[in-house]
Amino acid sequence: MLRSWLRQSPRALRSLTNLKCDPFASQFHLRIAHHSLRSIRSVQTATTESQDHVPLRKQLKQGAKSLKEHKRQRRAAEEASREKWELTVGIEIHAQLNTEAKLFSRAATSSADLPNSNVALFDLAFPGSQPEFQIPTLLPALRAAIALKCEIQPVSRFDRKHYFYQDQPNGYQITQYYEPFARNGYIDLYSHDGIAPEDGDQVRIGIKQVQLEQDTAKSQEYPPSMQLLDFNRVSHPLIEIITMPEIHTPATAAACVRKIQAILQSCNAVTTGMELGGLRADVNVSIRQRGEALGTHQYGGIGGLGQRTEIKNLSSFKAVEDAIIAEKNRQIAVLENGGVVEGETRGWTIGSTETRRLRGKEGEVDYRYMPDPDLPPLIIGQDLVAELTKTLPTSSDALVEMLMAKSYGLPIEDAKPLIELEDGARLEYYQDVVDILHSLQQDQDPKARGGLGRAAGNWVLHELGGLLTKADLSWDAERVSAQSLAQIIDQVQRKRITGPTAKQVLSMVFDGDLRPIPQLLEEENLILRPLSREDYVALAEMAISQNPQMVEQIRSKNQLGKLGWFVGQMMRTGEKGRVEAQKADAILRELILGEAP
Amino acid sequence: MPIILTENSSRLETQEVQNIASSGGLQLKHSEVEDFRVLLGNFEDCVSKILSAEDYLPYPDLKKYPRTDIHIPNTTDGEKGGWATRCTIKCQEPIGSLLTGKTLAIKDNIAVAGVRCTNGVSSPEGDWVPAYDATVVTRVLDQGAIIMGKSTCENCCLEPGSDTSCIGEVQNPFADGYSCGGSSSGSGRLVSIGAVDMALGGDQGGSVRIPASLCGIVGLKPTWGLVPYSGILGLYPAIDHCGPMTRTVPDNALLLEALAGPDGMDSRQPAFLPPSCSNFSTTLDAFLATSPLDRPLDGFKIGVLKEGRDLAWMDPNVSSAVSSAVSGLRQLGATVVEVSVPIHTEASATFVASIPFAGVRHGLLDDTAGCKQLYTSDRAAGPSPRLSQTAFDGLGAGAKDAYMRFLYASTNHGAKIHAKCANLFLKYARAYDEALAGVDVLVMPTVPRPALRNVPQDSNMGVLERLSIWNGMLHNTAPFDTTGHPALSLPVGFVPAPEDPSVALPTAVQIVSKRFADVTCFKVAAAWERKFDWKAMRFGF
Repeated sequence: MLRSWLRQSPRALRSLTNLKCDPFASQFHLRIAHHSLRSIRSVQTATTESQDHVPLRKQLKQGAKSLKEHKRQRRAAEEASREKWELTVGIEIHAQLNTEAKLFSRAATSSADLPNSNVALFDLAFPGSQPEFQIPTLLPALRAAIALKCEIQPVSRFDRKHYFYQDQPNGYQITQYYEPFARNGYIDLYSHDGIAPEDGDQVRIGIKQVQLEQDTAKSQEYPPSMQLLDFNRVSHPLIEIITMPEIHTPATAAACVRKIQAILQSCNAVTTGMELGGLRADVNVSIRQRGEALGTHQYGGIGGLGQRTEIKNLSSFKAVEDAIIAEKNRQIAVLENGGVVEGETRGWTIGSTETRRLRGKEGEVDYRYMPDPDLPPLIIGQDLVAELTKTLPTSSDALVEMLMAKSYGLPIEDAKPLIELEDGARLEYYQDVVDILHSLQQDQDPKARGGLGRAAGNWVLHELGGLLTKADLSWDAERVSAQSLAQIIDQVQRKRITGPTAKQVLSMVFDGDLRPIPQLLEEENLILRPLSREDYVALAEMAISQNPQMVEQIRSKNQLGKLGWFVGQMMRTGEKGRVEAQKADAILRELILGEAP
Repeated sequence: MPIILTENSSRLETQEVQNIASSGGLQLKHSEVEDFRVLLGNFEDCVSKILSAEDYLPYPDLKKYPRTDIHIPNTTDGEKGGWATRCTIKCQEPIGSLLTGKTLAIKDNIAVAGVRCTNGVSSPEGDWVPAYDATVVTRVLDQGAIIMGKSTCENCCLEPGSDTSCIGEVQNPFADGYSCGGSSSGSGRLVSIGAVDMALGGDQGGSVRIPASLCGIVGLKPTWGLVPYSGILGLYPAIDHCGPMTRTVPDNALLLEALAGPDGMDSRQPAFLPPSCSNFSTTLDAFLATSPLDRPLDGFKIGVLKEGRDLAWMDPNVSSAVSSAVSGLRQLGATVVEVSVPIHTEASATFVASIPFAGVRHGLLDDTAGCKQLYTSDRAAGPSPRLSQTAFDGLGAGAKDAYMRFLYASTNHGAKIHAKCANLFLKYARAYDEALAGVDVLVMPTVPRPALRNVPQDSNMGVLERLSIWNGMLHNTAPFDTTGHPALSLPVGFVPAPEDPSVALPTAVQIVSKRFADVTCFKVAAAWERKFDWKAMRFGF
């Protein structure tokens, strides 16, 4: 699961593999250790090692194979249980808003400052202190709600949720329980977002509501007996996003959280992502047997569901997915053994195989929600909503649609990384390249210009991206200017240089060559001087005469794949950068297969 | 000739006067013999009086300029051949603060009192230890610099490589086994690796700029006469230059500001500097601060010297790097044109022809005479100087060749060859002046190829082969030693070593401006350096 997600998220792949989270990597280390142990033993006992020596390559292959088999078995088991049981998941996401001040005091928000340095009297519940709603905190909250396609409520109110714990000096948290400021949104998830295959190409998950609330103080435990509290975080503005219980697979649940995070980040509503604790998710999980009588429970207006449990405080996408799988399997096991699922709150530790019970239904606290008498209703004008809607950055779904439409014509595999890389900087660069390329190609046949977007995508992502990765450098739009890259692509499109030459030129510019592309091509003598037909025939005949048995295989067994090898030979023996693959292939077909020229 | 006769002057023996005359192929009349007994006897009295009198040399005040920790480095603190001799010198009461706290290396052909000065050769009579400081040494100390020692100098300053000094091989800072370039090889290495902040080099044919190019640092051969040469071993006054070697252009301007100006002892120098030919550092800072960040070179005109670029032996990657650097200058606002100076192709050959006669007499035989300047009188030659076999055997290939050419020229051509060369230098200077009337600077590759491999110390490679491998490398540097134009070498990227593409070596562009317009070189180079990071630029990999 992790790997399938990684494939779709190159940025995450980079960061994760750097952290050595790759399951193959750890396995590799284990095997090396095992192998070296054996070597030591063989030295001590002087037995011949040759018999139990397995080459590393083979070991790796076997490892990959057994992992694959294990995955296949797990998938089969999952599929069987899925056919019998239907899973239903709803998610609550808490996100720290990107604001200057706290929600109800003028103290600054901070995460890195000295502990307890940004605390107002109200944050510590000093007697007589009053909450003072900080209007600017509304802006990121509204941006988030609009991006999640919610209806913004003209009037909303704040409520007190009571509980007694040291991280909340007031004895209650101010939230929006009865009348949240945003309702009835939705989020569309596509297959490229990593949803489960059984959900098809697209699934829409409803957003029940989005509410504003306060964060609590940060606790630090120093066992056995010391606990430190940092009140800098008290009253940091949060939004809680509650989805409808409309998710039926763990992968889609993780995709949903991931996409909500991406949306919140793209509209600059939140401080940090899950990896830095700026985002936390709780999931509600229930199951029911397909084809049986409907369940008796109803959540978020959706009825017929089984008893749910809530798993609190999940802090990574993987944790969301794994916790749901574990909880689903636990509930199935309970029911299949004739038991009853209890409504309870459970926890999840990364790496474990089962959720653990935190508190049961009987222990469920009574929050005694009540309207906060110190805070007036929040009235939001339509003009503000309209203005924010207008200035919201284009959503990634709209960007994907734009890039895949005819004008750019990118495949989804290219569109998605372009949008995600460097917070959109790569996309801007790509669009510049395409714009310049179109103006350079004005004199060309409109049909030929159709493929420019796709070609540019390849160069921006794969060729330029490859150079960056190889040199281990971060993105810099100045390193190869959009103008230079567009000129290189233009030259390839016009067949004035070959693909390999173009890559060479790109690499030269990437390495710091400041010469304008036309000058560089001229001074380095890189412009293609097409070979004559006779030249091609001579090259082909040389390759053919040196490898008669391969020619025979192509002719007798129709192994056309081997033609490619001959093309490679011709490119190697011919003058560098002058042999064009297509022409070489045509000549080879003519000479070997007797195809008409 | 006016003479002073005293009553009781000595007289030579008759026989001695007759011997002297016949050694010159002359026969004196009897009466003449008598006269010359008196006149030469009187001359000898005068000469012995002068030779026994105290010399007039710039002996330093060792309380004000104390020197400590003088020692010959061992293998661990020699920085792979960079240091010839270590010492620590700091002025106790500096008069300025241009170089406060900067560490410096001094090329080992520059006199530093109390510290041996090898000039790259081991002398059979033991090392020369001068008792005085060169003017440039006093000047950097007066500005607060700390001298850390003497940097290795190639054999008699006559070698463009870095494997001919008596100190040993100097390793290229970017690849062991490769040359630093010479003859200021140690200075190039020490600055490049950061062992010192700055260094002094000497340049008669490219000896500052070649190591600067090969070590990836900034090196300037200033306008002839701008920096006093007093107290520095040279080849001959018309081509002797001492110049700053640093990691950045602003540092180079700073050091030049400390060095420049007449010292009243050196006839290479003008009595007064032309107006606006001082304050290099402040002028450059003001230029950088006030010129537009994106187009600081708006209004500058740059001439690419055709004869410096289109060479058959030019490494294609060096050519690409320099061409790219020129594109960078254009990006910064400069207008770029191609300029042709046909005599450029012959100038380095004339330079080579000029060396044997004057250069060998001054540089190898210490047979110095004629100019108004401070002489290193304590090492001046005795009667009829000739190299001993031991001395000859201790020379590098370049010096051996120069010496043999000297013997040949003395027998076959005499002073004619030098006189002709000297006049041609005047002609060349005029040709570059004319080209520079139309552009602000001329640019070309400093050295046409990347660093070569050092020849191992135990190699038995012959003179001819050794000299052949560096053939053509001085093509772009030597001409400006003969004409005196300021020439700055600026690193512009890495190129692969021709025989091993995995080895990345620096290469450089040379920027030449009008005489006494050294600051123009600084402006162009600093504008480029501020915008582009040469260490991130690679060509031909």
